[in-house]
Order: sequence, then structure tokens, then C-alpha cells
Amino acid sequence: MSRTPSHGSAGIPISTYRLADRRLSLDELHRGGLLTSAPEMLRDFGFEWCHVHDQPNATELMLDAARALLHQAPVEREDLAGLFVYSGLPSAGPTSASDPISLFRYDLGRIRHELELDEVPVYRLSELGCCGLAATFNLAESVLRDSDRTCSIVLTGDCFGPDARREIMYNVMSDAASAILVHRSSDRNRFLASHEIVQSYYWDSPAHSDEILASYFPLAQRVIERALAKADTPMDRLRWIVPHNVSVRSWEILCGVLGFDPDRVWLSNIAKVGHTVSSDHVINLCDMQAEGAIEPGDRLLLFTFGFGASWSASVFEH
Amino acid sequence: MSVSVLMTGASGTVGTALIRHWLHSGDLDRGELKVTAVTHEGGRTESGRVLPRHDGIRVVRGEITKPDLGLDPQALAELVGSTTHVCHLAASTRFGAPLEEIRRVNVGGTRHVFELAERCPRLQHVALASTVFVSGRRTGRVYENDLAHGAGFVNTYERSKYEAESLAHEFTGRVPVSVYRISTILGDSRSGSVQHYTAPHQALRIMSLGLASMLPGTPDYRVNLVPTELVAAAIARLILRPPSEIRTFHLAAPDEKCFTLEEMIETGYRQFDRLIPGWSRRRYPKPAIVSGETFDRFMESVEETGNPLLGGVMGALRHFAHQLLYPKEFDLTNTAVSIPGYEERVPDVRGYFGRVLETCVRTRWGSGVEGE
Ligand SMILES: NC(=O)c1ccc[n+]([C@@H]2O[C@H](COP(=O)([O-])OP(=O)(O)OC[C@H]3O[C@@H](n4cnc5c(N)ncnc54)[C@H](OP(=O)(O)O)[C@@H]3O)[C@@H](O)[C@H]2O)c1
Repeated sequence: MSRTPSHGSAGIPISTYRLADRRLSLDELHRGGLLTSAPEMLRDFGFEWCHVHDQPNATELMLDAARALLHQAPVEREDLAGLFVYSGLPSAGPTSASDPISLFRYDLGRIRHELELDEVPVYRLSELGCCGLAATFNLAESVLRDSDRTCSIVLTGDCFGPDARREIMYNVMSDAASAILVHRSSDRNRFLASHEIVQSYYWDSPAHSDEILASYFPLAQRVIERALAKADTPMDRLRWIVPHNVSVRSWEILCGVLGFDPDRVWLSNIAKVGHTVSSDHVINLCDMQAEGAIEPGDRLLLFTFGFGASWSASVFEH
Repeated sequence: MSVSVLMTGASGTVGTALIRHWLHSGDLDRGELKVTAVTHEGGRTESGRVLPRHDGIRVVRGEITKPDLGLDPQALAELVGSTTHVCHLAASTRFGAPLEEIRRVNVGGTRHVFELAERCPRLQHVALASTVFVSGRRTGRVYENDLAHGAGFVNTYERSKYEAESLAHEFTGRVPVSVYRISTILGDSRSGSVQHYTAPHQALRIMSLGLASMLPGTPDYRVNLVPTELVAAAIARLILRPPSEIRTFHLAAPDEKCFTLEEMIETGYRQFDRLIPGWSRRRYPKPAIVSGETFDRFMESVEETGNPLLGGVMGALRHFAHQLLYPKEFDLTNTAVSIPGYEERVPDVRGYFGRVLETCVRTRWGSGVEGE
């Protein structure tokens, strides 16, 4: 998917996020038996804090993020081409129940109801790991392109639950949700191109974890280089890489592989926020904007890896 | 003239190939050549198992880390009296061994061999097997007559072999030594057979398992590989010629008959596709080729996480992979002068790489679990 950079391209004018309220340090997580590795090692890898939601369900956080988005960008319902929702974790609802009707208690219906979006088509994606936001954005963008409406909303959110273990492959996982408005003619964060590499052989993540770790860097390099080529953007034209919040250590290594200056990767949220399944890029983009780190015309690359497995990179112009 | 060779390291890759060469050439059968193989206790050389039974091959128990190779007085006296040529191949080839341990075998052992040779009244020639990587971290063209350098080494093995070569210089005038600097042996170019699975085989194994994340170096680094039989034939020829002013020989391949690193990886992946059913569907990526610092940071992280599988396989790379950061070309003048047509005779690796990989896959890299 690639677009000629021009004013009037689809993009993300506004985005919001909600982090789970409860903040636990690595030592607290360790004392609670929620880590696999020693806190010292995870600290050395760049982590410090984890945000934990009190429910194993992200609906509340997603609703909060969506309300904040609609508050900032009051869109007419008839302008919306769709509501696109993504969670990378399986829904925590009942899988069997004495009364089977409880299996049909849908979070998506609740979101639609509470946001008064009955007239808006909904699309829900799942099982794309941390690549979910990118895939959902791409879907929203392409639906918008073929529609006469002006915008769409993308909601993402994942919560592991209060008692869940918090480490995956040496990364500390937090709970959060995000909401973005995708506008067909955005004056900000205009989408230029994206590229995705899918390795479905790795679908069984635990069985292939070592191969996934080994493939991570070469495929990250390949997907980033291809996305940049599609966006006609040389590496040194990038102002920032907006990361997914895996360890600082892995970003240092990836920067070495790419020959990219690690000072131009927004790493400060890794310690503060940790890694969320599907909201890292929005969290980082919002904070970068709030801190005045991005100027109009800056090119940004959003990279992520998702279990399942896929590698994804998207290029935007702020 | 009858030749009586005292050989150490007869059970190794080079030793077995050299004996095979002498069997095929008829030298052993004609009785013109006799080999006394010094085996070492606890090693692989239990005569019947590794060395062929032949009237011309005698096996004595010895240990190069001991003075007089730890031989009993009678065996020692017999050897001293009969030896005309010494072929010193034995070495610890464990790249990651602690320096003191590897020095004891590769430098101390060489000293003991030279001291024994010095006492042999019929001695004509001592051959010392060395490695092209005594050049360590040097880059550019490396000449056979050069040894001393201050560039440093990638592993303790290289350093110990450098020190063993320096020892040969120390013995100048006392023992007629020639040094054969061998490049990395891949396997027999005709049959594809592999005696010992060493660094390049391990690197390819890691790629076949989809566990090769990155390698240090540059894509155009020339990977110098030679076939076993070429090395054996060259040593067989050089050891029997009288020692001359030329003392050091590169047994390496000319650059144009070598893969670049990128080409070797690409060819390896194409071969795995051909040799391992279902392999292509896994779509394993080729390793990234990165700077030394990035590779080290990655290795450090793998170690820090304690990941057993990645730590194990990548650990196998760490002691030699850094050599890929020091591109060099091995000058072949001395070898070409002494073996006319040498460069033409070196097989191009592109012609036999597939056969060797076939052996690797079939034997599962020497695990003994073959499909035969
Ligand atoms: N193969 C290569 O690619 C290569 C490249 C460059 C240089 N070289 C050099 O060529 C020579 C032969 O190498 P290779 O590949 O044939 O080595 P190898 O396959 O590892 O065999 C080593 C040989 O040394 C013997 N040995 C080890 N420690 C000993 C000790 N303490 N006392 C007596 N014998 C001992 C071993 O005996 P056991 O089997 O009984 O343990 C074996 O016969 C070495 O000097 C090596 O440095 C080899």
C-alpha cells in the first residue's frame, strides 16, 4: 500500500489513549510473582513501570479513549465510514455457561451503544498480536477510500487482567487502549505507505519462540526498508521512528542493524509505560506531539512485530 | 629412499585425509613410506576406529602436552632412530578454549614435537600445520613470509597457532621446519564427506534451524574455504620435497574461487530448499549482516536472558564470527611456485558446496542420526 505524499491524503488528525491506572514497579511485579526474568535484567533492558487494569477486559478503557477522542473531534455520525475495533488478546468472556445466552453478551455492542454508533458499520479484527493497530488502520483507510464518508474511528485495547503474569519474551506488558480518528483528508500524520511481512509458520508462538526471536531483527530490517522504499523516503529523511515499546535493548540492536541513530527513536515511554499489545504507537505519538517533538513535514516510521506472526512498518508525514 | 613419518593428529580432518591420500597414491603400499601415528589417550584415535589397518601404519600412544610426547622409552628410542619426517598436525581446534589450556596443547605440544625432532639423526623435514588466521585481525593482502603483527586475534586458537609458528622461528637452525597455513576446510569436494563439523558447518546448521539472527561483517567479505583432499595433496607433496628457503605456504583458495559472505548465505538457503523437505515453507529470513558492535550487543543480550537454545547456538558462532570483520586475501606465491598449477587445481567452492551441505543435512551435522 503506498500513496504519493500530498496534502489531502488520509491520515490521523487526532488520537487519544487511556492507560490503566494502577502503576506497579518491576520490584512490585517481581514480589507478586508476575515476572519471569529478574527485575535487574528487565531494568537493564529499559523497563521500569507497568500499568495494570483491574479487569481482564479492555472495554472500559476503550470507551474512555473513544469518548475523549469524540470530545476533541466531534464528528457527525453520518460522516463515519466505520468503527474499527482491535484487541490482540482473546476476549475474557465466558466460554461455557449454564445459560448459553450469556455467550452472546458482546462488548462490541456495548461500545456501539455507549458511543451512539448504531448507524455506523463496525469491523472487528483480532489475532494479529501487536500488529493489530497497523492492520486495523490499513483496513479503515482502505474502506474510507472506497466510501463517500470522510472519516473512521479505530479503537484498540488490551488488558491482561490484575493477576496475569506481565512478561513476554523479555518485555514488560501493560494494559491500555487507544482511539484514533482516520480522516480521508488529514492535515496531520498523513499516511504515505506501509509494508507487512507475514510468517504464518510461526502461528504457534510458544513452539516457535526461538525462531521468532532469531527472525525478529532481519525481518524488522527488511520490512522497514521496504516501507521506506514504498514511501520514497530515505532512512536519513526520517525524523523519528515511533516504536512499539519492546525493550530499549532490542531497539539499540535494531538501530545498529538499520544504521539508524537511536536518539531518533522515541524510547522514553518504554520505562514509563511498558509495552502494550495494541496501543504503543498512539501513546507515543500523543506524547511526542504533547512534548512538541514533531514538526509539520517530519516523516515518521511506525514499526511493530505481532505474534501470529507479522512484521509491519508504516510511514507517515506529520 | 625410505621415508618414515612421525605424524601427530592422525585422527583429525587433515590427518585422515593425508593417510587416505598416501593409500590412494600407492606410497604406503609400495613400502616407500611408513607412518607412525601418535594417538592420544582419551582422544578419538583408537587405531582401528579412525585409522585404516595397514602394514605401513603403526600406532603409538602419545600425548603432545608431555615432554617426549609421553612415549615409553622403548617406543621413543625406536621413533628417534627411524623418523625422517615429522608431520605435526595435532592441535586443540576449540576456538573458545581458555588461553592457557589451548597454549598447553598448541604451543607446548609443538615445542615437545620440535624437541623430539631435534634428536632424530635421520631427520629431513618437519611440517607444522598452522592456519591462515595467524593473521588474526589483520586486513588486506597477507603474505606467506609475514608473521609478526600487532593487530590482535579473534580467538585464543588463532593466538596459540601464531605463537606455535613463532616457535618454529625460534627453532630455526635446529630443526628444518616448514609451515602450512591451512584455510578453513569445508569437506571433500568429490564426495562431499565431512570429517569434523567445524565453524562454517555450525554456522550453516544454525541457518538451517532458522536461528541465525545476525552475523558480523560485510556482504562482500570473501569466505575462504578449501576442500580436504586439496590440503592433503598439497601437504603430501610439500613435505617430501627438501626444505628450502621457502618455509611458509598458504593452503588457501584464490579469491575468485571463494564465495562472498552474502553469496554463501544465499547459496546455503537455496541448498536447504533443495535438501530439506518443507524447508522453504518456513520462509526463514537470512541473517542480517551487521557491525561488530551490534553483533556483540545482540550476543550480550542473548547471554543476559539466559535463553538456552539461542545462547547455545549463537555461542557456537561467537568465537569465530568476528573474523568476518577483517577481510583479507591470502597471497599464494610460495605455494604456487612449489606446486605448479596449484591455483588452477583449487576447486571453486561453488562446485562442491552443495555436496558438502548434502552430507551435513543427511548426517544431521554429524549427530550420527543419518537417513542411510
Ligand atoms: N580443519 C581446518 O579447517 C583447519 C584449518 C586451519 C588449520 N588447521 C590445522 O590443521 C591441523 C589439523 O587440524 P584438523 O582439522 O585435522 O584438527 P582436528 O580434526 O580437530 O583434529 C585434531 C587432532 O589433534 C589431536 N590432538 C588433540 N589434542 C592432542 C593432544 N593433547 N595430544 C595428541 N594429539 C592431540 C586429535 O587427536 P584425537 O582425535 O585423538 O583427539 C586429532 O587427531 C591443526 O594443527 C589445525 O590447527 C585445520
